[in-house]
Amino acid sequence: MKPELKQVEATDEALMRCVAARDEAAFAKLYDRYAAICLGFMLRILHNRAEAEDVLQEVYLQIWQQASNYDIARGRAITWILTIARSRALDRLRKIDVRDRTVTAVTHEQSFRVATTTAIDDCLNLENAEIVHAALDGISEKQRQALILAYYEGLTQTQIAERLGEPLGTIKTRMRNGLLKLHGLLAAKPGNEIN
Amino acid sequence: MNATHTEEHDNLFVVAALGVATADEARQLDALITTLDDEYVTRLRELSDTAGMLALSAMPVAPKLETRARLLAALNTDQSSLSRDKDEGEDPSETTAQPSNVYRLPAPKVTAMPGIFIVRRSTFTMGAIAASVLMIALAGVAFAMWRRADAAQAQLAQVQIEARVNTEREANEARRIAGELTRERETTSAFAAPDSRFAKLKGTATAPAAQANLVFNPRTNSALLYSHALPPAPEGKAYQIWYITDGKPLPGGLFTTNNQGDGSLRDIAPSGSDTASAFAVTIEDALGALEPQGEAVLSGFAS
Repeated sequence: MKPELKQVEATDEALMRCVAARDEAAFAKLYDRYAAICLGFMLRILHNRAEAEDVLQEVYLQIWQQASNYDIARGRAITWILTIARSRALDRLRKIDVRDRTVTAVTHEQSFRVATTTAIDDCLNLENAEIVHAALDGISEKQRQALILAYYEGLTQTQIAERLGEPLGTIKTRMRNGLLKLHGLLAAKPGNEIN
Repeated sequence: MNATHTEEHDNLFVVAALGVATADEARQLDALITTLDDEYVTRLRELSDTAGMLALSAMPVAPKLETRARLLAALNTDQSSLSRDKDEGEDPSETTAQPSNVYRLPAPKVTAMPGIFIVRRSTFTMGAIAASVLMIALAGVAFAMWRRADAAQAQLAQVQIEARVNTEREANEARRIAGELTRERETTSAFAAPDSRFAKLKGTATAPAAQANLVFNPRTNSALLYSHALPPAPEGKAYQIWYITDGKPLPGGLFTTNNQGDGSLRDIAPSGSDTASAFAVTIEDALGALEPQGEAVLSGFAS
C-alpha cells in the first residue's frame, strides 16, 4: 500500500518512504525542505553557483532514483541526503579545470577564510545549524580548520598536512580529537537532534 | 587493547566518517570492522552522523525557481515508461505480421487435343485465367484493406497512448498546482503570524521612483517582497536582497521585474537574519553575489 502524507508536517523518514513509492508531492516537499541547505553546502565546496545548481539537480535525481536504498537504521535522512550532495559536489570539483580551480582558490581563499569565520560566528536559520555552530565553537580553531578542509574539500590527512605545512601526525591528532570532541558536544546536550 | 591501538581505530573511524579515507585506510577499516564488536560499528555510524552535521555550518542558499521546475519535469520524463506491453486493451498478437495473401496459381497445361476439344479447352482456359485474375485482384484488395485496418488500429493505439500521456500530464500538473496552493497557504499563514515583521523599502537616487513592500518572518525565515516601479535590471544582471544584521549585509535571493517595474521574491532568509534591522536591494550579477557589489536601488528599516 502506498504510504500517504498526512496534512501535518511529515517527518523526513515519512517523506523518504513516500518518495521511494514514487510520490512526487513528497519529493517536492523534500526538495523544498532541504534544497537550500544542499545548495548552500555545495556552494561552499564549488564556489560556483551555476555548477552548484547543476549538481543540485543531480543530487535530487539521485535521491528520486535511490530513495528505496535509504535505511533509517544507518542514519538520518538529512545525513543521507547531504552525503549524496557532498559526494556529487566533490566529484564535480575534481572535474573542474585545474586552472580554473587555481584561480577560484586564489580568488576565494580569503573569502573562504572569512566565510569559515562567518559560518562559525553567525546563527543559521535552522535550529539544527545553531546547535552545530555552538558545538564547533567548542573545539579549537586548528581542529576546526582540519575538519573543514577534510569535509569541504575532500582532502586526505596527508594533503591537509601538506597544505598547512604541518606534520601528518599532528593533523591526525587534531582531526581525531576535533571530531570526537564535536561528537561529544553534540551528544551531550539533551534534545539536540536533527529534525 | 592498548591505547595506541584504540587511537589507530579512531583515526580510521575519523577518516571514514569524514569520507576522506585513502584506499589503504579503507582496506584497513574493512578488515577491522569484521573483528570489532557492534558497539564500535555504532561508534563509526555516530561519528559519520557528526561529520555530516558539518554540512549544516554552510549558509543555506535558495535555488532558482527554474531548478525546481526542471527537476520535477525530469521526474515526469523518468516516470514515463509507456511501453506497448502496458497499454490496456491492446493485444500484442494483433500486431504480428500475417503471411501474404497473394496466391501463386499453377501454370495452365496446354496439350495437343482434337479440334472440338481444343475449342472447349481454350474456353475453359480463358475462364480459368479470368477467374485467377479476379482472385488475384480480390486478394490484393483484401491485403490492402488489411494493411489499412492495421494502420488504423496502430493510429488508434497511438491516440490512446497520447490521451493517456495527456491525462497523466494533466494529473501531474494538477498535483503541481495543488502543491503550489499548499505553499501559498503556508506562506499566507506564516505572514499572518504575530511575529512577522514588515518593511517598506524606498528607492535610492539610482531608482528614486521605486518602492517595495517586504514581509519577513524571523521564526520561519521566510521573506516575501513585492517591488513596484523598479525598472528591469540590465541584461546579465538581477536584483538581490540583503538582510542587514549588525551592520553586515547577508545575501538573500534574486529577482527580476517586468516592464511595468513589478517584481516579487519568495525567499528563504540567510542564517542570522532573524535580527535583521534593515533591508536593501542592489543590482548584481545574474547569479548573485556573496557581498554587495552593485548599486543599491532600494533600502528600508524593519518595523
